[in-house]
Amino acid sequence: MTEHLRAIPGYAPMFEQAYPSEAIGPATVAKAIASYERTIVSTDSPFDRWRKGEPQAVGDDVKRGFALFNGKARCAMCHQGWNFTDNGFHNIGLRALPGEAEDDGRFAHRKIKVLKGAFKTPTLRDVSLTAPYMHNGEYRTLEEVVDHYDRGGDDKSNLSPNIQPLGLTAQEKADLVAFMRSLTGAPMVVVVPRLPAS
Amino acid sequence: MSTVHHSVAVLTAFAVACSIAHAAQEVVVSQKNKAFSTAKLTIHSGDKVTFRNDDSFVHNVFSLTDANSFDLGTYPQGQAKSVTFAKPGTYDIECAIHPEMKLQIVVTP
Repeated sequence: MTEHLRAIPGYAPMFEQAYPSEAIGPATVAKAIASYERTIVSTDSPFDRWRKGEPQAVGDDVKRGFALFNGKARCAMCHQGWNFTDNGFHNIGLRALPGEAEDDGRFAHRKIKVLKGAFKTPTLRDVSLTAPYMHNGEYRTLEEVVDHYDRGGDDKSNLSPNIQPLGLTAQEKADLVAFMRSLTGAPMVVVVPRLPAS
Repeated sequence: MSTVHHSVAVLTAFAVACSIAHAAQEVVVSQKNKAFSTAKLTIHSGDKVTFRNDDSFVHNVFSLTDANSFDLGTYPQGQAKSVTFAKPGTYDIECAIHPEMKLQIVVTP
């Protein structure tokens, strides 16, 4: 990929300006992508408006879902803070998809047992817009995600102790999904990046 | 004979003094709000450090420092695990689950 970028003459001065004396390579490309992603900020969701003092911004299902999120459903053990992530790494009991090899996740970088099959906790901001879900894209809907956690994961060979069967009712599952949908921010205008002239 | 007794007494006193000076101690480090309770710790060789999880979710403690690499696995709120540092050196300690948690332990002779 970096060879392809280096072959585009227009990129050379842009990278030089942003990262003087650093080559176009995996590190600078990663920094460039991260810098762009930091400009995409989800704000003014119904959840945000509720927490800022608009009680009518969300329904009772969202409020119940938020209470479950922080309690019985154990979601906040990992999805913490304003971005709903602890920036940590957890094995949440996903199976390898048919025909695919086991993915060691963080263990590939840190040979610590707890990290085998562990992946970084993603934010839940705008989660209703980011299907498919999980690191392997196994689930198409938030309902399937909630079902996964409700049964306490599938592959329990190195499962995080944070993941346990939850015993959620159908109403509780629906409330959790309603809460997650309330994290959808207001639409924002972005300039779609374009490749510089060759 | 009295010389021998005197030498034994001196050696015994020296040994007692040394044991008092280097008596192994236990230092407790809390893990709370995804942080160790201190960023740097200086101990003597032979001291034991106990890592106590005071968060409501699981933590880990490990070190890949060559002189004493270890992995304490995962443990929940209220539980603690200990490591005795026998060799002098500087040890980088982390929580594998929460990589922002870092602690440096300096072990002096």
